[in-house]
Amino acid sequence: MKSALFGTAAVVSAIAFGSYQLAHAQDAGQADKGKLERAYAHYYSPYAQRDYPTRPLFGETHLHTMSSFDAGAFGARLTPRDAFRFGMGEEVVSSTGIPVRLSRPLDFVVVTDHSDNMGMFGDLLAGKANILADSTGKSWYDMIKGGKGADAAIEIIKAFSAGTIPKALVYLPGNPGYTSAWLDSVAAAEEYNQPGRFTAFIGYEWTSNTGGNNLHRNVIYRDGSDKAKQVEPYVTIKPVGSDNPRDLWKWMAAYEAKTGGRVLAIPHNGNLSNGRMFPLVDSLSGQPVDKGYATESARWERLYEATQTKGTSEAHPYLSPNDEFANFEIWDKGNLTLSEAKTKAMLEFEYARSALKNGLLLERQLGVNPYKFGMVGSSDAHTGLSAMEEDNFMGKTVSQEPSAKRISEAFIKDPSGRTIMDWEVGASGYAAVWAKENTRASIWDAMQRRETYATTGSRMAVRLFGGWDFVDADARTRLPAGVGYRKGVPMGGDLSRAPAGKAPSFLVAALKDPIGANLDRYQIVKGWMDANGKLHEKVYDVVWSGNRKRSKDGKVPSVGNTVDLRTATWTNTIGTPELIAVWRDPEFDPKQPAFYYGRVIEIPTPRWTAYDAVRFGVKPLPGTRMTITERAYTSPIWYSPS
Amino acid sequence: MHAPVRVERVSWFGRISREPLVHFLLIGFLLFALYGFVGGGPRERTINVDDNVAATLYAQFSKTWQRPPTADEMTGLVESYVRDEIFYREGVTLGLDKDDPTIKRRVSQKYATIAEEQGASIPPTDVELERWMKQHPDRYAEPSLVTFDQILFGSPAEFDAGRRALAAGADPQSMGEGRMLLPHFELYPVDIIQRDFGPEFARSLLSVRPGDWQGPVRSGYGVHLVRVKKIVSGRVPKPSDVRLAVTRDFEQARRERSLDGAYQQLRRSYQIEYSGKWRARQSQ
Repeated sequence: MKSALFGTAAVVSAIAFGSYQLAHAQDAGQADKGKLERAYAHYYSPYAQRDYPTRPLFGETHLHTMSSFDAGAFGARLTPRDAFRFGMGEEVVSSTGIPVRLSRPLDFVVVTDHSDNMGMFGDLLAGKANILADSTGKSWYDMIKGGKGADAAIEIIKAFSAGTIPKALVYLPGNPGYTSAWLDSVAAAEEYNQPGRFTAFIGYEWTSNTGGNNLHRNVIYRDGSDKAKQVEPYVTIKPVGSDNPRDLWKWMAAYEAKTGGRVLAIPHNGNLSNGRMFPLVDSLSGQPVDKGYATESARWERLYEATQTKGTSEAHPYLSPNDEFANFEIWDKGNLTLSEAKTKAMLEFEYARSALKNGLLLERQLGVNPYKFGMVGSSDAHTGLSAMEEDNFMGKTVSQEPSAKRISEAFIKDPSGRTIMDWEVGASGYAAVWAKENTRASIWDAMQRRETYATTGSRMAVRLFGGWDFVDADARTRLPAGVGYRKGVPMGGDLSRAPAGKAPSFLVAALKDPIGANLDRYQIVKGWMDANGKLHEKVYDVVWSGNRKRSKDGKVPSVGNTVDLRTATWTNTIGTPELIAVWRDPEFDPKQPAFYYGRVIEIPTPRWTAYDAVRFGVKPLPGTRMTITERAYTSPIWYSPS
Repeated sequence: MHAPVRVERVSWFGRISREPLVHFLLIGFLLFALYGFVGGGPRERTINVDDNVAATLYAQFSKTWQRPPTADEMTGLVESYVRDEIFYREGVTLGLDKDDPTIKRRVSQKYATIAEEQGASIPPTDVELERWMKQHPDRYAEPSLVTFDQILFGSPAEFDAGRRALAAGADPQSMGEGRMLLPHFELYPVDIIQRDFGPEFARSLLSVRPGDWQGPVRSGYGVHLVRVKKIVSGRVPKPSDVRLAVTRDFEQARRERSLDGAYQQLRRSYQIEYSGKWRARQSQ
């Protein structure tokens, strides 16, 4: 009966829109009509026209909603469903009542609420009284009662880091509140996933944060609810869970074994791990990283979230003093809670570039490179809103949603006096994926093969191909990607066994965000290990805008700056819409293992703080960064001698 | 032997059953029992660890570990449950749940959930879904498809030169700047054109007369010559193709409507009295 009604409805609507149909039929002709119907029948798939991906898909792999205990305490009221709707380009109303919409839809979104205490916030609100029997709980209670919910949220995060959350508030798998929060998250992804048009992934964040040291990972499912529902997400709280990544990897293996599904994990914020994210000595066991650790890390963690609201972890100026672009949105005062200060010795084990280098060293020692990861960016927003454009930045937390105050308030404060201000939070970033189709399977597979890049919020299209036979003319063809795939491997791939007398060549290309700023330059960052096991890095300017000449030190001078802070505007009168070139490594030694990744830099544009200053008519604090050079980091291509 | 004992008992019972103090105590006890039975609450001193509770604790453990808890582990889980329950009840007895903003909000949320689900018991009919779809045509519309060629030029001068060269018979493949933009797009959806080229380009493209090379058409990259070969206008999909999305959105809207309706109705039955100095400050 229902289908009959629906069928009738279909006929009615077909008649109602008959004029379109007629026009299309006349226009297309009989032969094409069948083709068009086929195109529509399975919904269109513009990417299927070639046997390689032709446009990058932009998305979010790290987003919290009110189901996350800290987001809820911060005042987040948006649900996973709201988060997906917003990602699809719909207008939603933020937790503080601001109507908000993206400049254009995202192609995919993963909602990654914290597995620990998932759904706990709702029950905290229910006011289980046993929290009051605990002195910590009592003090939060008083804070919330005194109208200081945001402060309480920070306190809760700190307590979580310290493992001192009152037992009554610990939510574990199997707990009805926990289970229903997880099932709801899964159901939301199922409802909003529209293959070919918008991909809603199932996922969660495993939030290992012992001592405030960030070892967080986002777990992303290739699967649908049939598999994901069979096992509840892994937590860090003992005895059910663990704060050790090795145990997460075991859980991932168990999930795959039980369900036949696939999951991958993406670590983030090495910059807040205080030397623990990419260790040579495992901080949890105190033992040097062994072959077991390396194998499992390489197996499960194929990507790293190199940029997000809490700073960018590609490179640090201390580690890369010759890289004039390394000092970008750096957070290096301490760990996540600022409870422990940062020392310079920690930095090497926190940043992507040094980890990629140490990976080469560990590969020589262990036979496996544990840090062979590609790059993505994402927001880590706790608002349900993946809004990471400088002129449309909805903040990291609800307390940072647009207001006249957010430019001058403190975000995290430690009794020691260490403070991170709200203005230091970045409007970053997104994950770009070269997938053929906008489906869970296609995007997940591209992540698994590391054919991805990170952006700090801009949507530029970036290519990187490595091979042995690229010639300059390849950069002038009409279909550079066709040549790239035919003659080389894309970002995330491997080169080995250099042909005699040849150095690797790279076809690099970048196209600006169609509604964003022009590009300054495309650089290749090379890291390598010499015969003595010594690690090196070098940044090469490969192609840049205009007629700038390299200076004596080999560097290309600055592109300039058109930003007008009084109006928060810039012009595309400098830079270029597109950069494309072929580059050969001038210092290649076939006996030395190496990696090469692309870094694309935009011309300077107003930072979100500049838009806020103009829109709210407020004065920034001294030292506030007001301009930014957005950028993209590609996954590396590795060269191994054997 | 049995009989005298029975007689003696009856007489003892008979004697005290006539005592007023006993009556008083008995009534007190009955009241106490009645209160406990009807009111439950703070004086309820029984914690039932029945099969339902045990099953929940059991599931909690085994869902994570993918094995059942051992007897020791199960004992620990039960002990922790009992402890929570006792503290919770004692807290409620002390009135710790009163005037607590977080509890107020939670109860309000629970009420909102119930209000949202009013009218949600009946699944939407096809007619309702169809009507919803008609009311929101843009949300489900399949976009127009465009087959076109494009050449990007970096500046108006280059564009002019390009147009002249093309008129003189130059090969379009040999011209222009953009390499990463494909030169040819086959039945490409206009919403993706918007994302790839910017909204201005997408708008212009739809108004280009199909046939020969035309321009300038501006995009976020520069100026283009375009040749539109075919435009297939967007259309409304078959309801059966978008049924899931329509149902999802319909239900979402119904929840929002129910909630708002419930609030408006209740709001009318309350009188809100504003007083105090804050109002004057507010209007400053």
